[in-house]
Amino acid sequence: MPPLTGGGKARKDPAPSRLSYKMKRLWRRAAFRRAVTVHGPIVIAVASIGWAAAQPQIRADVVELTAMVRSAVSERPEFAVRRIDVRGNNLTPEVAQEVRASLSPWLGASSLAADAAEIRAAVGQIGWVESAGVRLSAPETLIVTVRERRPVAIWRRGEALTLLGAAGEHIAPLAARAERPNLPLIAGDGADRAVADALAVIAAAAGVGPRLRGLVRVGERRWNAVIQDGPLVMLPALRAPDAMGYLAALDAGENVLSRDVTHVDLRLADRPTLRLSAEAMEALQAARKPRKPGKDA
Amino acid sequence: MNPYPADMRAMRERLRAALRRGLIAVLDVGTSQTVCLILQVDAAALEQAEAKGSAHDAHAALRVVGAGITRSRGVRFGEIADMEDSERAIRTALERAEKSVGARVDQVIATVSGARPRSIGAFGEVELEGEEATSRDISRALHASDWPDRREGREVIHAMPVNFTLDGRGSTPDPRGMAAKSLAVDLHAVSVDRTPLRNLAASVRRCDLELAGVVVGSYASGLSSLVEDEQKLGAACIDLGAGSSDIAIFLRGHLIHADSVRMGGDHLTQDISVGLSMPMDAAERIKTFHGGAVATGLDDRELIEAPHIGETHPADRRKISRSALIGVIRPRLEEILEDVRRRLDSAGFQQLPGRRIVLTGGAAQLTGIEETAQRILGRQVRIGRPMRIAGLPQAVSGPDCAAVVGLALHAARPQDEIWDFEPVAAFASRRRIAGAVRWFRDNW
Repeated sequence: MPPLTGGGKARKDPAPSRLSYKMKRLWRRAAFRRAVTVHGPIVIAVASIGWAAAQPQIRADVVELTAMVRSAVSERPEFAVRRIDVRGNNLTPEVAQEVRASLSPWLGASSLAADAAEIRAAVGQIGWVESAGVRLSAPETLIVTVRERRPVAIWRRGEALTLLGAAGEHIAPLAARAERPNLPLIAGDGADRAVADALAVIAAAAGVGPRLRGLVRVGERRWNAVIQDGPLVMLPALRAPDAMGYLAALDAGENVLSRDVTHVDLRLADRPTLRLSAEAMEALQAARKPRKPGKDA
Repeated sequence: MNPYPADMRAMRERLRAALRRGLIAVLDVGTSQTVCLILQVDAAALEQAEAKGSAHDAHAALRVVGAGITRSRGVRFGEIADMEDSERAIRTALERAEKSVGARVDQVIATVSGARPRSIGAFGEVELEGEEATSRDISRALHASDWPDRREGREVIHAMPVNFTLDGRGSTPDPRGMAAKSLAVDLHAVSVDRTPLRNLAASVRRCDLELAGVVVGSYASGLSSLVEDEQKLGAACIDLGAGSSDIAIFLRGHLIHADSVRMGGDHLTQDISVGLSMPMDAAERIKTFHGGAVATGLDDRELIEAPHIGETHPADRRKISRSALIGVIRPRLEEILEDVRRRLDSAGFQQLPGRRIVLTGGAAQLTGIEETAQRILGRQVRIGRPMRIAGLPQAVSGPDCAAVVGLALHAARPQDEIWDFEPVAAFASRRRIAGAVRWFRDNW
């Protein structure tokens, strides 16, 4: 039987070796511990990231990988846009249809990739749209709120008719003048840029009434008013509405538009001029010729 | 005239720096066990206590946060006999203590036990420079006294002013600001053998530690075991260690005598081992569990298992009566106490106003030692346990750890020593530069 007590091997000395003692004490030095646990890792991480960034191959790989991961996530069916909801106050169905058509690239695409500014720009391409708001209603509906532009005038260039907005925006082409009988007609180069001006002139021409066929921009500077079965009214570049009011007054008083006049020139405010038709001129000259008393008789 | 003031002063500076930083270790390398305590010091509270001069408050600023106890190796008679082994013991104790704190400690105060301490009394007197005594006068008086131990191989580790006399009127605790013509100072110096001191310093240094002070073991035990009144009225603390029994006599709160008997508890064990032919560890075990100093009739009938040397089979175990054990212990114990009494007598202990004797140290736990000591040393004997300080673990609160607890108290409130008083030097500016350099070296 082995001995129960004593006689065994001497107990092992529990003393730490000098090396382990020194290492433990070094570890208990706060500055050293901080250097190893905090500063060291930071330096290593920064250095390795810097080194990796300096290698073109690694950087390309990282970019590729990032793109792959990003697309893998964003192209999951859970993130796709399934419905596009076009809203707006008093929205014309055709306009809504057109907006929806312009948004077709986003239908079925990932909602993570959808960029509101881009969508707004795409919708803004449509002439009918004055402004648009875009928001994403989770999980799969894209809501586009559209404010429709109201046409204020029709612009004729040759045979083509274009609807104009209040600031001269080209809204849409128009097939026939008869579709929009209530809108005034303007023509001439640069007329679209002076829509507001034209509207003011037309407002002042209320006295002339339905006989005003439209305005023609001349030299991108001033207007000519075309009167149905009447003369061509040449308006000045400045204060055209006043001149138009003056014309209305002339017409009311002297019935000038119904006379045999081809042009009413109002370009000089202090000197309105009328151009008579050739027959009228002859008649006038005939009327004015002093009758030689002995010749005729 | 001041043999190692630079060393001592440097240690004091390290102690102050450590106290400011708030963590210091105390280390008692004894014959049987090596104890290390790590103290957390509340520097602000300590400063307040310093200002108030309250020892109690200073002790309250301490907290023991880590303790490590291990069996000593390579220590005999309280002196280091094997550097390698003792270093291992210090490493173990400090490692355990540091592990429980989780912080590193660099400064350590150590006890010197054994090493034949010797007390030297000295006296210095100067005429005051002005009307009133100043600390400059105290410094001059201290340095006017002749205190070094001139014997070969000795080193002074304490030199405390214990009494100031102004114009022949004694017992002034603090003479500063008092009007007088002359100032005299009584100095008590303690010298120890240089070799054990050097060995201790080397062991500590080899453990990557800085020594922030050395204290005579008996003085440290006295600080923790004697109550304040005993220290004032006069009392002796006898630290019955394993390898040596250290004596410290206190009067008016100061250590006035230190001595050591080179016998201790290990000699009891050795006697048991030799006298009853038992292995040493069995002898130690029997001494601890069954040992005593006074035999009664009952002890004849109480049988103790006492294995013979070389005996392995449990069935062969011999049994001895407890009185036989006590019969071996007692003569040696009486011899130790007789030696202690002789030393006390030669120190003039009988002339002190109070003659209380406090026994502490590992051997003071022996049953019946109080009665034996009373018979030999006088009526006023008690067993002293160290003072409680905050956070002191149970394992370190027995009489065997009186010295290390005393060291902790000393760390919080070190007694003024001669090297705490700046010598009156001619080159004040050079000293200031040296002070700045030292501050940098200590703090960076």
